[in-house]
Amino acid sequence: MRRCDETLAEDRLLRDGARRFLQERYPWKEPAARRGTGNPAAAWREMADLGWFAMALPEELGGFGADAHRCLLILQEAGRVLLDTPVMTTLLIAPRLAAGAYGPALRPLLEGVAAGDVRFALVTGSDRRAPLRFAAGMLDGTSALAVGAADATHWLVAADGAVLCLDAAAIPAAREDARLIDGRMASVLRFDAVAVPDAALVATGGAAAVLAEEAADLAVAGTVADALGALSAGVGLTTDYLRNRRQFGQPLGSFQAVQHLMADSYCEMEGLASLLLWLGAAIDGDPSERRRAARAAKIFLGRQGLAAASRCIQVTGGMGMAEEYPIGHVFKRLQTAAALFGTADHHLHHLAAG
Amino acid sequence: MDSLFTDDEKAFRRHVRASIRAMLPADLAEKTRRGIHLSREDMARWNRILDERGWAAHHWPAARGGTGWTPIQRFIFEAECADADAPPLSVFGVYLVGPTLYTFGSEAQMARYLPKIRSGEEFWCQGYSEPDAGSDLASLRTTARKVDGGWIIQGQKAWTTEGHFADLMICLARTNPSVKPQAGLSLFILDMTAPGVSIHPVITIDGAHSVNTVFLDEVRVPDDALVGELDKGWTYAKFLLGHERINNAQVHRSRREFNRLKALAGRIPARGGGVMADMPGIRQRVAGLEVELTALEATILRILADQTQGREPGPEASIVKVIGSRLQQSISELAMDVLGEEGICIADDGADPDAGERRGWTERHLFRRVVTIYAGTNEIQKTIIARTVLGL
Repeated sequence: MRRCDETLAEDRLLRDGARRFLQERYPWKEPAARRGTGNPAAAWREMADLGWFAMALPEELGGFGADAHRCLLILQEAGRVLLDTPVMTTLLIAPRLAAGAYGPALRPLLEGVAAGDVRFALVTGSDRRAPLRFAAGMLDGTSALAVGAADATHWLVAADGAVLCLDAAAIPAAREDARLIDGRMASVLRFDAVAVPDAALVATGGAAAVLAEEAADLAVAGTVADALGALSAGVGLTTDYLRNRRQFGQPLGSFQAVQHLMADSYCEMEGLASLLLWLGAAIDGDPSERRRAARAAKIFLGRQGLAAASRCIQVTGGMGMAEEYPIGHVFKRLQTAAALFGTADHHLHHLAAG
Repeated sequence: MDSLFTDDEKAFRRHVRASIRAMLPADLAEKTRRGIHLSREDMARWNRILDERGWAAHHWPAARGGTGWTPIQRFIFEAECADADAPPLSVFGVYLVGPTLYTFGSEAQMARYLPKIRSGEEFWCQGYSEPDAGSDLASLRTTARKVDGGWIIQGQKAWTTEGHFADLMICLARTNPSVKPQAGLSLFILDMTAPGVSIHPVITIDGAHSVNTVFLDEVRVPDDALVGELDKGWTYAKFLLGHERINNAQVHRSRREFNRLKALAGRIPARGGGVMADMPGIRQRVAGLEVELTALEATILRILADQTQGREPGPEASIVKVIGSRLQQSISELAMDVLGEEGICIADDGADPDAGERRGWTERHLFRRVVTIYAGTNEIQKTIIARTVLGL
């Protein structure tokens, strides 16, 4: 938030570069046209060439030392094109954990991360399933939906008792894949007394709990950034449509009832942007503030953000309902984001408990 | 939201917090907690105390008697004033007329009026709205007719807040009837004790007298009562309304009231035992409001951070009045639900120490219906957002 003009100019360059790249190489396509096309591994390497996966690493680890705000800018751009490639964990979360006190377990992978050969998926527990638990070298339990787990080379697992970095090819986990309503793939992973090699331990005990909270808050930040990008693209598409579509002899956007619905959406989108800015700044600050900021942003996303996206469908009418038009997919992206990493009610419950 | 402030700003906060606590008389803080409309004497007293410190017109440029603080420092100062229950300053003098005069007025007008606004010696009211010109302000019918050595003002002003104790009015009047409505208006300074000015109280639904109808019957003002150029009044008035979008969000009062609401919910008994703050539904609504309030604070800080670094605020500035006004209402709506039956009785304070506080919440709840109406209704604001920001 408090950025000098020079930093802002650099932010803008980074954002514009990412926007051009994504719109050229990965523009939004309707799901039927998109399924089965493209080579995921090539996509990762292409993004790695842009420096995305090394940007958050400190310079002494071969990175560019970008702050969280910059990583969130890239994730917003990914959200704008409803990008399928699940880059959040590799771009935002893993580098920050690797740079911290418990980083050594992750460091042998960093070269592969920077090259786009190592693809992380964040794996967290679910309060509706058997808890993920690490004890005496063994991992047990069932995960929440882990976006990109099927295609990942490594799973960053936040379990009770440990944070682990598991080689996906070497770990015997039962994997149940599902396509999400926004078109991305996610998996539920089941671990049944899986022996974890020492080299996979990132942190254990109290340190693991601290690290798991940080990873969860970062996941919320990344998810909100992606959703905000999607929403801002959706609001832009909707206002374009309202300027051009004519009914009763005039543009739809000239009707005040429609204008006020969109003004409400705009207010909500800006509120979400403000909370994300706070969260981005709080990531490097006091953990309790970071947690409050993450909860606030996730609650606002699930309530006001989703309402704003829903209103875009309302004012575009049948077009918003059509699978071949992007507005409905923006709504599905936000609905997906609202459900991952704790719903608004979940976070509200914890915020209310103080 | 500590991570949004620099270390210097945190030190500044500690400094102004300690100063305000030392300067603010306890009885004024108590009155501010209780009532929504303060008397002129109470507002003037706090105005004077601040002026002695050089802080009354804190957001004015230093050359005009302001502090030279950055927008973020001003935000911090206002937050600390609200948190200490300092009386609000009368909005018209310090926030509206002062900036109008130092932006558009003459040196003589500045020398005559600015010092007494800063000291709280003179109070102002705003003569914009009329019975037939509310949201459609440009259709106002009060006229100013040129005569030798001055102007004769004729018309009627409506919803004039604090008009009954103001010394002066900043008055928008039509000086040119033959051009389009916006182009023929001028801004005048009008002495409320001048012959022809008569003031009639309007009692609002909270039972209080804060607004008035003001009749201007052949009121004579001198030539130097004209502010800026002839027929430019609409531009000046719009500048002001835009200037005050952030102030209109009243975010600091909302934060203070929100904190008091949480304390209230911790004292009011719930049916079936415990207190209201223990009820899951109330807790969740409190947490939900906290999120919305924080989003508003972060939005305002975003705008002010840009200003502090010399950048013009972006379009997000237009949304704070809409969000801030709804939030003020949401806080008092929740307070009424927490109070239940206790909130609907018109009772004397009596011996119950909490009765005054309860009455305060009820009166605020009723009067707060106005915040989505005044300074441009929220519907007007949304139309502005749709047209100017979204390009519809």
